[in-house]
Amino acid sequence: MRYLLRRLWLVVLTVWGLATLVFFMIKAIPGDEAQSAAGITATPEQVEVVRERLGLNLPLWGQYLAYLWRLLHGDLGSSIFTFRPVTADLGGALPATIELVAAAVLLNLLVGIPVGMLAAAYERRRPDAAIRLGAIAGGALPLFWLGLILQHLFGARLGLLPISGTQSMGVEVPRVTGLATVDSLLAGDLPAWWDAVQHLVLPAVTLSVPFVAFAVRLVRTSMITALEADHVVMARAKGASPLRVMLQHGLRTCLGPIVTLIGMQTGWMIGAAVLIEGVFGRPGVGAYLTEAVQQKDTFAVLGVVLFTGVTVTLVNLAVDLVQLVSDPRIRAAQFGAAPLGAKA
Amino acid sequence: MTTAALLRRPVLRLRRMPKLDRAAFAAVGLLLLTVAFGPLLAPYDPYHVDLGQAMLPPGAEHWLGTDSSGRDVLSRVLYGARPTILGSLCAVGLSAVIGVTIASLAALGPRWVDDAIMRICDIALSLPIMVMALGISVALGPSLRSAIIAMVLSWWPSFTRLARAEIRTTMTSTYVESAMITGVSRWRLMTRHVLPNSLDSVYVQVTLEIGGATLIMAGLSFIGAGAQPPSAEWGAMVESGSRFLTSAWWTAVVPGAVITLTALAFALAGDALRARTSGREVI
Amino acid sequence: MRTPQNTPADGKALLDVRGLTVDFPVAGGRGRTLRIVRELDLTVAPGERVALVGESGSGKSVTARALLRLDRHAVLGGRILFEGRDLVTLTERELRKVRGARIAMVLQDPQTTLNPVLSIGDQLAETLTIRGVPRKQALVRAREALDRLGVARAGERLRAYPHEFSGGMRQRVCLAMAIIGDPAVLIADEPTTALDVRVQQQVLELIDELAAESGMAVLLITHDLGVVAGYADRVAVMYAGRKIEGSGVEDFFATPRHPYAQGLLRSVPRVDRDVSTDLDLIPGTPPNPAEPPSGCAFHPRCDRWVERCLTEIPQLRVLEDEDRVVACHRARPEREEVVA
Repeated sequence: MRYLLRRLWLVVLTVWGLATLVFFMIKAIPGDEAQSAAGITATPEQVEVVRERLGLNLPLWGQYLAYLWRLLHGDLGSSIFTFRPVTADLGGALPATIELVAAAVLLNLLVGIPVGMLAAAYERRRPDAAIRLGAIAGGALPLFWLGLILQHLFGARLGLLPISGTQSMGVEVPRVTGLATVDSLLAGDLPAWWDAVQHLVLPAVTLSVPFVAFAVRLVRTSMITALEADHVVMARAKGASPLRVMLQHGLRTCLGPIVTLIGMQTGWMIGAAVLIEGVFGRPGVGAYLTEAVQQKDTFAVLGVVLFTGVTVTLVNLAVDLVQLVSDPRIRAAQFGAAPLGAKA
Repeated sequence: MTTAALLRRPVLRLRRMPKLDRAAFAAVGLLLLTVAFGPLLAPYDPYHVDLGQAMLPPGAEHWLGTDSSGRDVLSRVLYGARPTILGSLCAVGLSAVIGVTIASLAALGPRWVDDAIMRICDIALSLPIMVMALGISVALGPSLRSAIIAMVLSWWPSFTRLARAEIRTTMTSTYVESAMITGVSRWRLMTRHVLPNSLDSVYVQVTLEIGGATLIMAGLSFIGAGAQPPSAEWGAMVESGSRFLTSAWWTAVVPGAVITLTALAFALAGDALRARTSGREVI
Repeated sequence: MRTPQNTPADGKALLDVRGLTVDFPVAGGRGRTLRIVRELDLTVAPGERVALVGESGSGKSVTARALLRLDRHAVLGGRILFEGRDLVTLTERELRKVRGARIAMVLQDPQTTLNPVLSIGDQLAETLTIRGVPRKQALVRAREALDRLGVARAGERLRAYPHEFSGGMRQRVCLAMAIIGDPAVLIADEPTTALDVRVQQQVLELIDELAAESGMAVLLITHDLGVVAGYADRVAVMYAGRKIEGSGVEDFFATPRHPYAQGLLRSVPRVDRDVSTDLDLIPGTPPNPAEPPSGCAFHPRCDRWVERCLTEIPQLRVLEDEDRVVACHRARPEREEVVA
């Protein structure tokens, strides 16, 4: 229990720290903050009204508190460009990014873990060397470049997959979650679903490449170490098949840290999604951010920064909790378990 | 193993290295030479616009072709090594220095300093670098400099964590304890005894990270938050070439390939270095 | 000279190892191997308790694991005859049927032998479930096995995890894991080394009881002569990868024939001797497997070597009038004269 509380406290601290950081970033930007918030076309009176509202006449710590107060109410300011609250904009942009990142994470797990296990099974032999080289090469590819090339090859040249967007023109699906793949399934519209999937393939595959590369190397090393354990020898001594040994005794013992590390990569993935959304024209958070930067839309940019930081922190927390639940050793370490049979 | 020992030890003994490692170190050397002397070797002015010569495929006069503004791609690649690689090197190097310094402070100071620093690391680590860089480019205006600042701000925590772990381990070793008993000042303790023995993994990490840093630097320039046109930075080159994939594919493909090879060379070299200094191969 | 096989009284060996060699590939070198076990002969009769003794590095643990081909990278030579088949040439598939069910193993450290993320019950039942026994039934037998080994509240314990048990309890669980398949042979690789003294005896007693109950044969790997004296019927001594003496336990302790064995027994502190006398240790250290001495591997440390010992590897010979084998040029009980 203490562990949980401590962990949550850390999350709160981190979020607070992020908010403070963003506050200072806002202050650091040259120019009149009230003016930026009110917009270029605002009259001086309107600017004054905004200044009052944002509490900008207060001393610094007053402004800080006003700012925190606004944040707690979910107010990230308004976008100069779209004239809507940033939170609303984010809400609109989020689903496309969630779809992309979720698909990439899924690919990461589905491809990374088996390939890593394969490499461990053939350790020191040719398949292992090939896989390792592939993983290193995969980790060296610039995402945006890979995306461009794949897009060109499969989209323009071979015409197999769509080039950009989340859905083809004219394909409409009632918006429930905002994720094209999910919504089309919910609407029972199979052709639309297939269309959405096709739009997802290239971006998701591209995004996952460096992460799969990392996962493969991670799984390989973890498995090799895990397979050296005595209990693995014991399992073989009982007559277990190689597959069983790999899965039940190898993978199961090292899966926890693997999933944790992969989960922690989500932060990087969100960052990389910025690049991918640009190349593939997906209207997600990354695209929103890039647009906002180009428009010098301060509040939008910083709103996204804060939002991303909080999301990553929460994801890391979730990953930690999952590991706590699934691994009996960690449960014991954190919650304590008295050894049974103290009197042998 | 001390720094001095590392330098003395024939880590880079060429003859007994596996071929791949040798190739990697050679490639890294080549890249560093390009950074240093690239501009001298460039056959053309990388910024000279000549629309009459635009979009020429690789040939005798322009080995790697020309881009949409008629600029020689090879020259631009040679010039671009500086912002791309040097920029990344600076970013990683600065991060390492700052990270180690802060880690030393954390180790030397009272407990609350250590805690506070760890919390700050958490905060910095929760922001993906792309996002952080875009945020900074809004505040400071996009440029190579703001990209480097963003990278340093993103990276120093990982070095701090790494160095802190190593320092803590070293501080529990007996020779450090003996030094402490003889009344050595904390500053001296840190600089002469603890740090030299803790920094091995930092060096290795730096080498390993340069490849990733190059990819990120290129990525930042690609989205416009790093080096600005007409800079020959490789990521920016890919961006300007991206519109012409069908008509002049080499303008986008070549710089990207160079970035890939750079990242690959540093990654392999870093791996080889790590295998040598830690004995056992890690990821 | 009879064949160098120490065939036991009733004439039929359960486990018959002949000329076993175990090589390991050397890291880095292409195709180079290191020979750890050199032409080992060993027999275990049904219900017999055989102790395989040697120092660290003598190859005894490697031998134990080689019997079930547990080292993936090891290359085996010679023959391991068991229930009419040669385990060296058996296919992996067939060998898996033998492991756990006909020949079971207990490893040295009970803490690392058990999988930390699986429950005790699951691990106990595994030997059975992988052979098609339904899980429920397997768990019942697991409970029975734990009962038999004196674990209280066995039913509850099935759901527990290894870290919840103490060292001695864990070893009982490992023993339970071994006997659950009702094997004909139990190989125990230093089963007491990682335990404290009080628990050691309990575990050894347990192994004895189990063996007596089921007629199971036991191959006990150990470096502890006390264990040999208390819990073995016959002993085989290994040195530098070879078996150098094999005999009944009583004969062995009364009159060891090989100089190494004699040295071992001399070096054990004795209750009836004055405490202040120095320990009579064998000088020198065991040889490096990569660079074995020429001829007899023990000659650098022997006090009775002759020229022949330097050039010719002694083979195991059956001694006249004695039910034992020795591999030494100098071991002739009747004549002690120097042989040129």
